[in-house]
Amino acid sequence: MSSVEVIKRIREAEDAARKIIEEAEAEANKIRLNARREAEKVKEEIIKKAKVEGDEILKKAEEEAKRKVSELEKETNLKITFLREKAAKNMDKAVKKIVEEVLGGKI
Amino acid sequence: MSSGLTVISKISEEIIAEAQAEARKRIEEAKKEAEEIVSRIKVEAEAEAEKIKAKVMEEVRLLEARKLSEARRQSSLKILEEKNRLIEEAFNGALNQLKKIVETEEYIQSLSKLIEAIAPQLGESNIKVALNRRDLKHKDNIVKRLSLPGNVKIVFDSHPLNSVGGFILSTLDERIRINETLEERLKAAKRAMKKDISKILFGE
Repeated sequence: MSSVEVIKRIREAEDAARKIIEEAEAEANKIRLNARREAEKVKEEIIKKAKVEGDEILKKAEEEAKRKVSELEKETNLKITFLREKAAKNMDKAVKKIVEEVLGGKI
Repeated sequence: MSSGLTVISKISEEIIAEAQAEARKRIEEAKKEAEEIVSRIKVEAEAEAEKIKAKVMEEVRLLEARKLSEARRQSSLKILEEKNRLIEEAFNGALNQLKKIVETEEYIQSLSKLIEAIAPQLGESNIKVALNRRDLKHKDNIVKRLSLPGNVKIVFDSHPLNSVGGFILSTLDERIRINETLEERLKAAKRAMKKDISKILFGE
């Protein structure tokens, strides 16, 4: 085998090796890129899920607050009814007391 | 010749084998890197999700606090307004009652007693008494019931008061006046008795 032939064979092998490396590098880049894409997708899903859950929690909290407010309003109305009943029972006594005060004593 | 060819083939094979090994290594590294990328981005995403949840929980806490505190404030205000309305009702009731009482003989008696009690506060011997038109008709009856010190003289103002009842005492020159009309006494009672009336009405 001539030295030219030897060099040619080795160059061929080196070219093939370079091609293998280049293909591997391309594959590696593809793996990294896919991983990034996949990870970004997962990230989006995780954040989207958190936002959806957050919205649900907020909605439930609003409903719960609304329920508590409504309960408080009912309690207030009951207290007012009770106050009115109590005042109605004692109104004559209160009026009498005021009249006495204004007239400077019992008449 | 054949031995030379074998050597070259072996060298070529070694070059290819080395390249393949390097390729495998690079792909393995890329896979490892990919795992790290996924894991890092996942951690970032979870941290961001936690932040979103924490923000929501804070919003929930503020929402509950704000809505409930506003509702409690409104409730207290409503109860207070109702109490004030009922107290006002008692004072209105008293005014209506007074409008009836002023027609009675007992009222004239009470009027005399009040003039008797308040007149000394003027510290004058000549006192002017202003009454409304109806009570002026009873001035003799009132004077008859008065028991004042001998030096105190009463003069009735000929101009009737525009009032439900009661009187205004003054010095003759009207420099000092004591307004004891029933409206004024009711106003004073309102200021002084709100707490007492609240106690009577609501038992508190």
